[in-house]
Amino acid sequence: MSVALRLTLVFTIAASLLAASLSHGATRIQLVVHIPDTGLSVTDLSGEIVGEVDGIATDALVGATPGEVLPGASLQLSVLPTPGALTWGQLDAGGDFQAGLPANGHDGHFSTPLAGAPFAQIYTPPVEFDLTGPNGAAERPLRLAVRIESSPGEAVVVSKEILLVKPPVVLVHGINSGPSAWTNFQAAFEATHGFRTYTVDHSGGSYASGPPTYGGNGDPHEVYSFVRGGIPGLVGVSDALVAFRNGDASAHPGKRIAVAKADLVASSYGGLLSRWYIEQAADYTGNVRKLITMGTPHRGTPITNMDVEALTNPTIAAADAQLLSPIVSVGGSLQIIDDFGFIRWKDGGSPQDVVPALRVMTVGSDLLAVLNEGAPFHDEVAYGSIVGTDDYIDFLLIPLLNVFNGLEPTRGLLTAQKSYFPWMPILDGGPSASDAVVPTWSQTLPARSTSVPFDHLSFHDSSTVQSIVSIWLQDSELPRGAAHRTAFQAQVIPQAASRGNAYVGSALIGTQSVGGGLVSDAINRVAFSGPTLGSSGGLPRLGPSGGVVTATLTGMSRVVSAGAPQTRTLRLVEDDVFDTTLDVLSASLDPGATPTGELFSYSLEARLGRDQSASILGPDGALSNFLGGEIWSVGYEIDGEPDYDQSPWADIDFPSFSLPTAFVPGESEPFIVTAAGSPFTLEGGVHANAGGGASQSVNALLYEDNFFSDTLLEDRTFTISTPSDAFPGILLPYSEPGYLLYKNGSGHVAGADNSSFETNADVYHYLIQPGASNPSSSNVSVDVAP
Amino acid sequence: MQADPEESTSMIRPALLAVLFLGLLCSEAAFSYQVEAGSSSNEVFILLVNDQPSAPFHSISLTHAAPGIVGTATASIVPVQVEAESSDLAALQFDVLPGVALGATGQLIITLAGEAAGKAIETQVTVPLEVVESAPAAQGVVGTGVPAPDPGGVDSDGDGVTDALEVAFGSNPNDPESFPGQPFAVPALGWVGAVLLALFALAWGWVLAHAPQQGSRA
Repeated sequence: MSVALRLTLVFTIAASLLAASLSHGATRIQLVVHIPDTGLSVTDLSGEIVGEVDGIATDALVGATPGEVLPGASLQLSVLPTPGALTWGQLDAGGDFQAGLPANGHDGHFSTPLAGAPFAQIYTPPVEFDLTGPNGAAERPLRLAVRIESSPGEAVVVSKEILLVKPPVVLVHGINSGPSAWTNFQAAFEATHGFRTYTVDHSGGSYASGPPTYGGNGDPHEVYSFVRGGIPGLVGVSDALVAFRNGDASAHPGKRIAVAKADLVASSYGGLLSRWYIEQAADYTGNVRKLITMGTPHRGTPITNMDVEALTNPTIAAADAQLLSPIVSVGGSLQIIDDFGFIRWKDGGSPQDVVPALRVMTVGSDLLAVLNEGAPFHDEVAYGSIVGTDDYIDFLLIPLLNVFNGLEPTRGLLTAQKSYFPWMPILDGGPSASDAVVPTWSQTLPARSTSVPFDHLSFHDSSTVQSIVSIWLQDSELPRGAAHRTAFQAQVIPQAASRGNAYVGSALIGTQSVGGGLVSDAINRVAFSGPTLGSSGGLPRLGPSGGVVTATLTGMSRVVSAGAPQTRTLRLVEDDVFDTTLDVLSASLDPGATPTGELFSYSLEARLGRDQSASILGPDGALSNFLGGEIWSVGYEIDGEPDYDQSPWADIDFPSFSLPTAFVPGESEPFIVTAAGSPFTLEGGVHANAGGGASQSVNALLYEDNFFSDTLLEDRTFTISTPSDAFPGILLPYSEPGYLLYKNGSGHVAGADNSSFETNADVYHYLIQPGASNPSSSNVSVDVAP
Repeated sequence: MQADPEESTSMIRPALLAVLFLGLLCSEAAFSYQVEAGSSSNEVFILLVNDQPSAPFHSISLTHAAPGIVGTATASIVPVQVEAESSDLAALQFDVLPGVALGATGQLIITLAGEAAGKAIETQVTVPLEVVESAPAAQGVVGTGVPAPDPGGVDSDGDGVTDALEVAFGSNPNDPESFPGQPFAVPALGWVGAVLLALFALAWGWVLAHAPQQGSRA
């Protein structure tokens, strides 16, 4: 504009003022005020979010040295180039502009971009959501502002409210579990502690193996990817971050939150998977801030050594489950756990599917060595561990009545709590030294841990645990990986020597199962087999004709001297008021190539059988029952080892005895006999007079039942060969063919030796056996043909 | 020796321009609004111009901080929303306490707050008040008539200010280059500025009178 025009305007204004100066009283003042286009923008410095953001997660981490901060998400604030003085700050609670941010860092920090852009600032949030302490709020609004003073007396303050939020929390379940384990945890954690949570589902194991079901192959080389995220349809760390950035309903709905890191809370095996992702995965991108583990077997757990052995050792694996016995036997433990819904392997799969994951957790496993040796823990991640000390998992379904009594034979029927793994205290050094699954020495990250009186399955639903996790996730002093590494490697773990397998019963002292370290012998179970053994209702059943039952005793024993057989005495016993020894085996156990100190498995066969009163007997003892049929409980012991009582009981059914009738095949009563006769085979069981391998004479007779004096129709003596494993007193089955009933010339029912003198006769089977009572069968009706 | 008139004027012109510059400078420094003691219903009219290219300025509030010489002050006009690249009228009405001394001063701070494009924007205007015996009825960026809200009013030149408001604020409603308050918002001249401008006018006239005529030396 030319000077002349400016001058003209000035004179116009001056004239106007002059004219107005003649007025008095009320005045009016006219101003022009501009709402400037400052172009204030608040963007994600990382560029992950395109466009404006609405908030930022407090996902930085205090560094190892004073003042050091490992940055998380940052924002860039910028305005259009504008004349005037710029001051960056925030609006206080009263809406007034305050230059800068509090020096204590409570609301974060401003800094100038490295490029020195004059119209921009970098905003970094505080290192924790609330530096004054745990805060249950889900978000905290902050009004970042810039003040532009274009001239004295005229300034514009432009502000934008951003939300400070806590980083997303990704929950990683353990093996034999799934996301539903976190249902209550999530609800409480979100409502009470103000976190947004996401659940990883690695229950499918290998991603390539198909959609998730329970129990995958568990190999962390691949399964860690479920923690990492980025798998369609599943949620992991990267997916949680995306949900935050997109303003997903699961995050802060409609609010685009800048975030760089998530926190991980992991249960049991999930902690190992999480550590593998953070510490071993080649594609780890540094997007985890903290990891809290709950009951994680950082150094393994002996129970998996047992389970892996049970699933891979043919001796152990071949042992059949029988009624309640597998509940207390190691060999059947996984199956029982499955029955009660605590182990699920892939649909259509087998227990073998879970072996790789179990093997990872074995004490001394190769993968744990990779994790824990060298340089464990990530320097830019903070860790904490929650350690459970309740070594009894509560299976109480009905108050005072423990329906899982069979879980542990040494506990009473009315005992309120039962150990899920009754041998656990023995493995772990005593009461309160495990969470019933993982020893405390394995759960502990010594640089930051706390003990809680909960068992392995109870962490998630504990409000105490939830509070601890919440506090740690808001604790800027939670130790970083370097501190954990130093403490972890300095920790002396005597139980670390408890490598190998253990199969033990439990010993009850007071009200607790106790023990210490691995025992020298590990009794597994008794399993029955035999040529005459059937089954009924899932129970092995020895019929009235008897026969030798083989009781296979499986277990393991520690090698005292490599290559040297170890002589031990095993006793097959029957459980009653006073236990009865049935069979005593003095065995030479061959350790094969198993080195000294390790456990080798053995399998021995003991014998038992029955008599005609349903008594149970073995070569070295018997117990009578004169009331008829009986279910007997059988176990075994090893002499000289005080660490256990005996193996779990296995049950076997001996139904009531009756001598079989003389029965003509293919006919039903009354049997019709002709002149040509009807041959049949007489079957029964006879009291053995001698041991196996001999022959024995059997005198089996046919009688016609009369009111006063019975008529002997046939008297036959034959010889049977006794089984090699038979022993005196046992009832041995016989089966003799060629018996004959026919119509004689007088039209009467007759046998090989005599006539009944009747056209219809009641015939029975009678056995004469020296050394025992002579039983007889019930009658069968026999008629002659017309 | 007689001075060369051309040489004289060539020396004087730069000096006069400097005087003009100082006059303009002083005129801004002397900015103040005059009010009378005991006056009521004084009104600050603010033409609120939204420079945002696409975002309306909305959720508007008008607050103030009054000096001691002011009795009551009330927001009398607050627009609901000012569209992008448009304008509207806001106003604050205030009374001056009776009995305040002549020459008393104070700052009336007016804050206009609202939101645009997801940001809170707060513009603060400081109005220096001075109590005089007789104050002009209309001060500042004035035109013809008293400004009044003009919703839906015609904007002939399309500059974002309706014709009625342009007239009230003294700009040309048919010229998009003419905008209220431009080129500079000099609503009043202080006495120093007035004296300097008067000196400039007198001197400029003398220069024009003594300037050599075109072709006189030929």
